[in-house]
Amino acid sequence: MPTPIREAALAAIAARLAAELPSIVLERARRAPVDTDKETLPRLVLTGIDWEADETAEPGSTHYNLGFVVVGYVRSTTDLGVEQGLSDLHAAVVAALAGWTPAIVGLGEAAELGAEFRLYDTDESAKPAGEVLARFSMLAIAPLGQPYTS
Amino acid sequence: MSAFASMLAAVHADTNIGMAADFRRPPGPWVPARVVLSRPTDVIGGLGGLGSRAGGLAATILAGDIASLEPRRGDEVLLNGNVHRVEDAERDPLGLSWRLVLAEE
Repeated sequence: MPTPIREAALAAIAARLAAELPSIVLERARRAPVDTDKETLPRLVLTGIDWEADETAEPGSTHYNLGFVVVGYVRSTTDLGVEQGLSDLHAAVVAALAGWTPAIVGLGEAAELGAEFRLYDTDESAKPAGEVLARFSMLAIAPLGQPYTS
Repeated sequence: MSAFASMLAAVHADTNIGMAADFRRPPGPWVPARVVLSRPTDVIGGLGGLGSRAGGLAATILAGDIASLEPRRGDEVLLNGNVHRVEDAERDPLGLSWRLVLAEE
């Protein structure tokens, strides 16, 4: 059974992150909240989001734009430690993905789009913790009406 | 003593609810006090919708126990041998107690 090109892209991205950041826990498509008190951190969660199609770019093909986010969670002993940890984690994710092209026919390079950072309020978390959401996109090209890897 | 002050004193003195603690403004000396702890655990709305779960730590302390001090960020509370930094302090409308938001490592 052919693999949808979206799934092939997300699997490749996950493999890339796991290879480049072996000491950081990585999950895909997690629905449950991350317990920043108890779970092993830092932790990354990769999730595919937007999927835009353009049938006008090339005759017989569809150019897709895959949007995905990598959310990172950090805990430290100090507020500043969280801020610095989020910066470190974000930079490591960008270094692993931005400009990288999966070795799968039809997939283009990952492009960095931006990020949001958040330190949790003291009311929310007694332990200094926070998260970063990094947004990326990737071009995927497949035959018209056949969004699978070839 | 007002009825509210009596009620607060009774609640804090109850060993099933209140506990012994110490309060100070560094580098000042520790002042013995009674506190009522709460550990709310809530889901925090995440940037990407996934969210997280974390526990807060708050202590209600009688204003009379620390009469000369108005708690503020940077003060410390000693609980069970662990020092917790005060991150935020909110006085009740009657001025009888303070709700201290505490940090922990």
